[in-house]
Amino acid sequence: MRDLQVCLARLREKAQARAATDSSLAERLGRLRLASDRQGKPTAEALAASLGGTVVAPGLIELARSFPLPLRHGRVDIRSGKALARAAQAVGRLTVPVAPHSLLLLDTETTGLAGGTGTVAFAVGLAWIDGSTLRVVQWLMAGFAGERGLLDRVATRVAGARVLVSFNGKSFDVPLLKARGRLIGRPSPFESAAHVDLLHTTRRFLHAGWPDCRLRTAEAQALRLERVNDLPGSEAPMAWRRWLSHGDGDLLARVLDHNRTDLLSLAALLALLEHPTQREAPLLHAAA
Amino acid sequence: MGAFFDGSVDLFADQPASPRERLRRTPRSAEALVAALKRRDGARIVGEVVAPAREARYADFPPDLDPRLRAALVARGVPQLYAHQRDAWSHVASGHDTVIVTPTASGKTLCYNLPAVDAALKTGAKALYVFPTKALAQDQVSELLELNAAGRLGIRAYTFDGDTPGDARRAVRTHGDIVVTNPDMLHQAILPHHTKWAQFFESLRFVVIDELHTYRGVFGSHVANLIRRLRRICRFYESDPVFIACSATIANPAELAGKLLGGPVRTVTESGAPRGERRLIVWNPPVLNADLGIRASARSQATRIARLAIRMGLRTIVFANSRLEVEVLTKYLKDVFDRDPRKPARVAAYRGGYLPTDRRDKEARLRAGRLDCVVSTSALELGMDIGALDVCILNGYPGSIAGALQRFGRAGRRQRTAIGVLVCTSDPLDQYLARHPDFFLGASPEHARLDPDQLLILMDHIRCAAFELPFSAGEVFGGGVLEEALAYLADQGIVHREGSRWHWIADSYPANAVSLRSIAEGNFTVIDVTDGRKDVIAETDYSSAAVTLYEGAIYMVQSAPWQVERLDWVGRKAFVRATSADYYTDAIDYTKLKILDEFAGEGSATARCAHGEVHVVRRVAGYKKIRYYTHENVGYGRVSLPDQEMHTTALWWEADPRALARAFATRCEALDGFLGAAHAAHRIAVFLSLAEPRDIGRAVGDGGPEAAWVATPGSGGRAETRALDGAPVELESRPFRPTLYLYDNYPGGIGIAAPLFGLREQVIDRSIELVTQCGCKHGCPACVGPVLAADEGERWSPKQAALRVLGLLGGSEPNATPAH
Repeated sequence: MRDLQVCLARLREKAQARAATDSSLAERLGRLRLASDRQGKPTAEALAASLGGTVVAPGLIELARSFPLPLRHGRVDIRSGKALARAAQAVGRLTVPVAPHSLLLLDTETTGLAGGTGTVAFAVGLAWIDGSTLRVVQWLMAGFAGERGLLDRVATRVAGARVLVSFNGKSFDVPLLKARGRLIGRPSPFESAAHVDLLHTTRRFLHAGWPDCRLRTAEAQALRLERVNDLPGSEAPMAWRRWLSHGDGDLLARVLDHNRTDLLSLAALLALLEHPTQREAPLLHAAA
Repeated sequence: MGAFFDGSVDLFADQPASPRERLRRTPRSAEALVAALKRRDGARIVGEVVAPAREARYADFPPDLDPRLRAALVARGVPQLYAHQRDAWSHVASGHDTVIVTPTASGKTLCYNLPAVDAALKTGAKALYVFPTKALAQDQVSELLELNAAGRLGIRAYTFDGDTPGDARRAVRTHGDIVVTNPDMLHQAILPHHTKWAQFFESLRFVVIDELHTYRGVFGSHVANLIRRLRRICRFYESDPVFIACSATIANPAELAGKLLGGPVRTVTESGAPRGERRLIVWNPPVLNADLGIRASARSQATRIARLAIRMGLRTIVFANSRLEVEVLTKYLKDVFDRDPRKPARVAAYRGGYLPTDRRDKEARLRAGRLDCVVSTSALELGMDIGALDVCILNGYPGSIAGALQRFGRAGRRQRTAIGVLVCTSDPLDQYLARHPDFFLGASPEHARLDPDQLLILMDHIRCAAFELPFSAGEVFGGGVLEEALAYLADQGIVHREGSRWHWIADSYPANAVSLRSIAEGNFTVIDVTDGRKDVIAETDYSSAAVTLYEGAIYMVQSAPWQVERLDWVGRKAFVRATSADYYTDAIDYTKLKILDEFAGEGSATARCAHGEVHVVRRVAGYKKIRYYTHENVGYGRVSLPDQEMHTTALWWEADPRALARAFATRCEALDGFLGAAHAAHRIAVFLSLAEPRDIGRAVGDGGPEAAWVATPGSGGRAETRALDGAPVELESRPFRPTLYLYDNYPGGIGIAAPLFGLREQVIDRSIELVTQCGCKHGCPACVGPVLAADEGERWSPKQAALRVLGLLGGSEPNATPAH
């Protein structure tokens, strides 16, 4: 055993020397201090309260918001549920008209972009039309115990939807949620709904002249939206890890804000793409 | 490769009719080659053994075999099975993991195709086939498709590797009955995405591992862990597949299979396939300088024999032990046979580092009989179908009996005699075999060894496994360090413990950072920049890069030389330009060791032996330029590369200073002795550990806390002490503690030093035996290393010095006058 400890200690040294950690001394000290506070890690209830949500199942926090329509997002007006549904039908080239209440927008926050069974969708945001309101519900895992509840609730909503709308969801979000579901033995709810992935549409019609085809870019260029104090998506994994390992949930509010704005931008982008002229012409010529 | 496929092809299409060519047209028999060799150079043949032809032993198809499969086999010309194929079926049918150990071309494939296809037909069961290379995998799928076609079986067999396009991957996952892949793909693409393969894993009945004997050493240790991960995933999907493995002849197939597969294994070892007569010959080059013990090079002899064989129309393969040797030998043979560039090449080189398309092309040409001779490294040891060859020449002992048998196995026909020739080099072990040919000819192959619980390797795979599925408390993965390892990973923020489970939370993809073939870093690509090009022409692994890709090195591909212009170490790229240099280069490297920790040790009156952990630094200081054919040294060059450092395990000996002072008049003589002793001890250690020579490193250095110097043979033939940068270090003013090290040549060790410590007395005794029995007078490359003519006539010869040191290390003080 002594041999092993010696070996592991050496491994630790080598790993630290080799690892690409960019943690400053301050962060490291912070972690050390936090580590000793682990006894007093905040509960899920406390976290929920700080986020303006509620614990709806062990380890699962839910936040719900409502946005009355019409809603202005950037320079786009999301006029009504019917308008969004028409847009979804047109963009997705669906033959049967889409009822507004059967539309579901989806965006996830994950622990990484590599995919594979080790990536976790720790937060999922869904948005749907309820009369003249856009409802946005987000679920956040306060721990792994909350994953089943999250996937169950997502599945219920998805099963009741006919058209799913996402940005890169076909390649990333949906396969990830399917994988997570499979790991806990639940069947995929994604088989019946049609999927309109705005990444593809954006690439086809709007992309000319943009540096890339990310949602942020589409947002800035087409929606003329400027986010204030946004936590970049790339920092979401770290924010959740800090909560898990050290009980520091300070950044999670901003993660959820980011996710909520993503959903609104998704809706706005969809609204924008309803009008054929705007769908086909590069928006660079449009008035600001 | 079904039971009756002969593979003979017309060698002689499109040949012009010069007299020499007409000689080629009528292939002489292999016996005629042996007769010719005996007539010309009979004295060089020091051993010969004939393995008689063997008849087939048949068995019926199993009665419960699916009739469609039976019909397909009959349609392919297989009316019955060989005995060993039926045995394999019985073991597998009872649910036992099974390993089949029979020679090449004995119909091993049917041993696994039979149960896999039968189960797929009857119950839709699935099978996973794992081959070490993509090429073998593709070969196997073609085989299955032919069987399929013959019986209209409707079995879907697909390869799944790096070349499988994205949309095809989905079809393979969901519809494949038999999926054929390789360890790297399983490691990086399948297991970390196992939910996409859920229905495949749920119905998985068989896992086939072919070429099992290749999974040894570092690679084998990784693959053993890969299989642990695979079994873990199967348990998750509640399937419990039977593992069927095929191996070449090694001494301990059951043990190797057991370690690799993680459980008890049944073996099938008696082949029922027929085979023609085989003659194995041990050939020792003639002595050129008796006093120095210098013989003609093995290269010159191998070339001679190959030339004669090719002229007699016999298809030949020559195996060399290094890529450099392959290039040099190919050059010599091409200089004779491929002088006219308008004619198709008759001789080709083959090795890893050549691009896959190049290698596929050569394999196809060999199969079709359009190549007369191929010169290869161990890359062609594996079962890639290259047709049947008549003559196999080994340029030097490949380091193990199993390796030699595997290579010889490439020559062999059903009805005709085949010849294998081992040409001995001046390497001590080769010369030992030349003196004891029956040891080689009658020996059983070695044990293959692997260490699935090597700490660094195990950690890598625990990480990968944690990514694939959360670990639960109480789970077992490898040698009992799981709890500690997970705690360590949690500290690093890689996994998070919640309740009784450990979940992956990092944003990395661990499989990308783990190479199955090394315990470190990545491969180097070699890029041709002649005339403004940017073509990748070869690839080299990390450990070879420092000694083959330094700036100024001559790097050869197909015996055509390129010179390395620039090496981007961090970017892992070497830029080369075509050159017409008439020399090749050989690196000079120094290795320094520092003892970090001693695990155990034992002293005697004259010496102390211990083993433990060491820090090794290796620096390539420069290189020699050596002219072709004459082997003169025509210059030196400097090299500046980062040092290669690692921690590993080692075994070392130190002599008592007073006994040392009594035994030697000068410190320099003592160091000559240490170098010679190290030379012999290394060979014996490789032999006793049943390892490859590159698995064990040797060094003589300062055993003191500063590790101030290393001893190396200088250009004058005497030992020199240098610091790591090559600067000379004077000895007289400091305490003299020369230490002989033998170390595991892999970071973290690979389990050689500790058992070798247990055999330390044998290491010394056999080294003494090796040096004493050597026929040279003063020392030679076969026992203590090269010595100069100037040394003869002195009171001490390097040989005597080495024997003195070995005697001291073995615990006995020599007399005033040498006893031997």
